[in-house]
Amino acid sequence: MSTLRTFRFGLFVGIRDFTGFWGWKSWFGGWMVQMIAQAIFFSLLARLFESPDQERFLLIGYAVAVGAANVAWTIQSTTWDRWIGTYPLLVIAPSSLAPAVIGRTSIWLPAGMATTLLTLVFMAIVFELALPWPATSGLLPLLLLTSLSTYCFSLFLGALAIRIPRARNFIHQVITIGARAFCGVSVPISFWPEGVQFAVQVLPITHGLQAIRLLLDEAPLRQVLVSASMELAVALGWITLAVIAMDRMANAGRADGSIEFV
Amino acid sequence: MIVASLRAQFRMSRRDIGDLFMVIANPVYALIFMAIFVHVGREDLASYALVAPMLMGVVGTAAFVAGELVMRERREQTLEVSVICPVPFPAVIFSRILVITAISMVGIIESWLIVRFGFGIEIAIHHPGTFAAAILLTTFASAGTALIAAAAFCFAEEVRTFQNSITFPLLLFSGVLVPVTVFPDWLEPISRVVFLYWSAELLRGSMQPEILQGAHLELGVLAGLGLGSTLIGAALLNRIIGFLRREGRLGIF
Repeated sequence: MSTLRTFRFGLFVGIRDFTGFWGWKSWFGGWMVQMIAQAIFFSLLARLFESPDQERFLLIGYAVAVGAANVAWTIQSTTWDRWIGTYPLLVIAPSSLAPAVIGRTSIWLPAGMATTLLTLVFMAIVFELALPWPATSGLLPLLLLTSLSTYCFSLFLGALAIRIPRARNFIHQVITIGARAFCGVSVPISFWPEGVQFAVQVLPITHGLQAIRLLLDEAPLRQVLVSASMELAVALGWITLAVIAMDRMANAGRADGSIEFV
Repeated sequence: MIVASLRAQFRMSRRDIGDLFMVIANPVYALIFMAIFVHVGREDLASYALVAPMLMGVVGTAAFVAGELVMRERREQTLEVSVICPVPFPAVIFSRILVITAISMVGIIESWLIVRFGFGIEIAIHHPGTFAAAILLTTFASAGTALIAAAAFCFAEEVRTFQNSITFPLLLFSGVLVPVTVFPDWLEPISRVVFLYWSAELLRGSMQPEILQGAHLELGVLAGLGLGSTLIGAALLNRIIGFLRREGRLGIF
């Protein structure tokens, strides 16, 4: 019960974090414009060699990628308690650290999903990105799954970033751009050397995006479900590691006295 | 004075991981673009994979600098000291911006290395003179543009929300990656006002074997845009600093 309560208060702080950044006007007029422009920027590359197939590949890939990058704000958000000095209080509280941190950071999950959905809708209208019906009705659960595994991975990185909060933006940028390169956003993962292909199997987006692509190309349901279940496995793996890392980092910080203000 | 500001900013940037991010992002974007070109069998487009990441870096850095530089001075209460120094404040800021912008230019060398050794594709710079001039003028023009933005951002805190909202629309419509010909015609005159349009044309052109038509004119336009934006930026910053001094709000906001 106290876990749920802690989560709820964490989420309340998260909502304030979000509204501190954006209001309705700035979210639609600033954030979404930037995200859609970003997705178009990369997708139009296909116009250089006039390949509609590649354009579709990039449009879907980058629509998912811009949302995932927003979900990954979880990394920064995990460290914010250190900047304002509330982190030591959370650590000494008798309740576990995890629900408080998960509560505060989970706001970026719906934010990222909304970003991807709006980008896809925009692409469908302006770039005539075909979203076949009824297959598209399965998009929402798959997007939730992809965002969820991105969230779990980001939470793990956030737990590490608690020890080096100055590196929070850097870590975020590195994984964002890394995902675009290697997780099947820009080119199929089969393009890369075997070592890379192997490594991205345990990263979020790889299987989730694949499932979304299969769904939108009306592939057999079985194939979609196989990719989706692999993404789920990735999510479960990272959330486990994240919770373990969070406590470890807190204890390490207590041991060497570095959990104070940064 | 300028040398001192350059040196100070170089020392600060060397320690600040945020300023240096572009140095790492640049080659990865080159890798992404190049991977796409190789994937579809169009290695001949490699010059696009070199020029776009560099200009993305330039714009990203300019926006970041614009948002942070003067604000950081205000936050750390060093703005008052900087402003009462007997040297023109915009000159100090401009030279600092120049350092950060120049650092982001290093990316083109890394991108070249990625294309050369990652994919085994050699990109020859057929017109080295034009290339070098374009690089120098781009640094200058982007520092000038960042100066305007820095002045605007330091005046209105809420504008900073849009700090990171303008970069991709700008990159998109100035033809940094894909020439503006893919867009509706009415957009082209707007693109031409942005220095990036000229930088992209010149840099890509300098990697083509054909003789560049009107390169001098394009370099002239780029120089003009650079000079214009620097002068406007300096004037704007002076006015805003003057306003903040009169209001007594240099360090309070």
